[in-house]
Amino acid sequence: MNKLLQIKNLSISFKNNEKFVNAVNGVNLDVFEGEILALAGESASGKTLTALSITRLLPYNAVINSGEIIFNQRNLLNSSEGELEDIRGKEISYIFQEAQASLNPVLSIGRQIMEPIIVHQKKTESQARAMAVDLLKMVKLPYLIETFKCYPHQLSGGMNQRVMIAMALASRAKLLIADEPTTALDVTIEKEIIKMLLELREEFGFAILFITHNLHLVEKFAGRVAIMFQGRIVEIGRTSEIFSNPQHEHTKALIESIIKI
Amino acid sequence: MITYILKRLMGMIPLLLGIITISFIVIHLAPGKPTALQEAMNPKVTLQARQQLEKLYGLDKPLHTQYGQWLKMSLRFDFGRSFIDGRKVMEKIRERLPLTLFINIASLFIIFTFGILIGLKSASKPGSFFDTSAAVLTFICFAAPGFWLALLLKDLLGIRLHLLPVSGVNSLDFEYFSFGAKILDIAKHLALPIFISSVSGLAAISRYTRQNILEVLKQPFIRAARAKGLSPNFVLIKHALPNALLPIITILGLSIPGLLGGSVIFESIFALPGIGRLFYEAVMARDYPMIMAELSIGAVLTLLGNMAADIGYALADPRIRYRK
Repeated sequence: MNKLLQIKNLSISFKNNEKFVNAVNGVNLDVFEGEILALAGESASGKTLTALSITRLLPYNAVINSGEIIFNQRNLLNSSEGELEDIRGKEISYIFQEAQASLNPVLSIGRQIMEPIIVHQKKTESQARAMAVDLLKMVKLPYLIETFKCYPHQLSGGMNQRVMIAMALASRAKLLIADEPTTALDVTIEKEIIKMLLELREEFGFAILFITHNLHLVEKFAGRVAIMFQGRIVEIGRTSEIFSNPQHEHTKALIESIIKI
Repeated sequence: MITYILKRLMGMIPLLLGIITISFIVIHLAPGKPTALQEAMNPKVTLQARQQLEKLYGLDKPLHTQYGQWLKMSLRFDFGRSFIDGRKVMEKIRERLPLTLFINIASLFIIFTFGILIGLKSASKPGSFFDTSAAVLTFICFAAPGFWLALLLKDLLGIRLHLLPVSGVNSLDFEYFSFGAKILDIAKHLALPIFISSVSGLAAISRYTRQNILEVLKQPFIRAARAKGLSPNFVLIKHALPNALLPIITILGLSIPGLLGGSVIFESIFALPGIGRLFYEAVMARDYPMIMAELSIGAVLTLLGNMAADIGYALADPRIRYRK
């Protein structure tokens, strides 16, 4: 399998009260085409920062100190803002934890799905509208035309997350970065969303970088897993191997915590 | 929506009646009488003459009768005659209104257009040269008293540089000007008053817009919009600005009653025949019909402005427009 994305020796620090605090320390991570790689770890272990740094969406007080992020033979950390805009939402897409908060409250669902289509695929308004309706159908939302006109507050959390997925896949991204996509949802909805993501991956063949603290999900769903702890990747490998034979203390603790429940 | 508006309008009636009644009582209870001026001018005035005068103005009747009469008349938009010169109150207001309205609408327009634009530009790059200089300027505008600024600018632009006339609405030979020259003449006369009355509002709205946009930019949906590959300017204008403008709609609605109010100070400084001075003179002379007319119109406009603010907000914010 080919490497889709390579993260080499990535370090990120946070500026906090004029002092820099290291948040990510020398992370190395490869994502292969079409695979599901889970990046697991407890809160504040640096998972989300790593994910955001891939297309340089970090908060303003976070600084990338060193490293390379290679995508399509290009180091994204050296790319211009314009080049990154061409990649975001087109080749690398994101879905976030709080779907409703990640959608603009004053713009309709349809409008928000149309935006990346118009920007990346240079479609006209009416073409984009038709494509957006198709995307809503793809993520199995009911009453397409009505939903198209809805605003985020009118939909449930699960429906909003489907909208986010539709938006992320609008331009057939090669890599979907899912940052705790189901954490805010209840368990039955979580199952539906994950199932749908898997089906869509079957169909389109994109890779998923799945960021989560839920090892239970990792076990069921990821081909490989990287365990992150205090800004470092402490262990990486095939999910079945890591679960049957964890090496690092922290991995053991994480796995034990799910078995206990 | 129409039921909502009707309900609001119905609800306004008792409120309006309350405001007007209280105003009526308070004004009549205030010390001093409309007749005092005429009596004081002539110390030899007899009791009989004084009573005659009071009868003329209808002040000899008990307060509730006066109130009833006033209310009946004002329902037909007839606010009676001014005590000062016996002319119809509505006529006097109508004379002064266009100028005040024009100055207020123009300055409101300047405040909101430029205030929002400055705020937007400042928020697009916080800490940039533009942002810092805008901040310094707005704080100066906030701190500088309007009348002081008005006098300084009059001195600079009118007397030293001879760029603008210092007072009035038009030049002495206005009648002989061509149409274009007339417009230019009025514009020159009103430029300074409009500018002065916009200054503090402009400063406030630009700061407020900047602050709102920066607040909205912290929201998760902004990062999500960037993650879709939208450019920073697109995100700023299409995603952040509409959210940041919502509270400004309320401010705009609440400024509606202010459209009718004139500033006594500016009107005096620039010798403008506006509503402000009319009201001031009416208060000083205890010209009850004139005071009551202005207060009633102000009350109606305030209530309508509040309603307009709520409706405007509802139209702009889908979370209110489509409440489940």
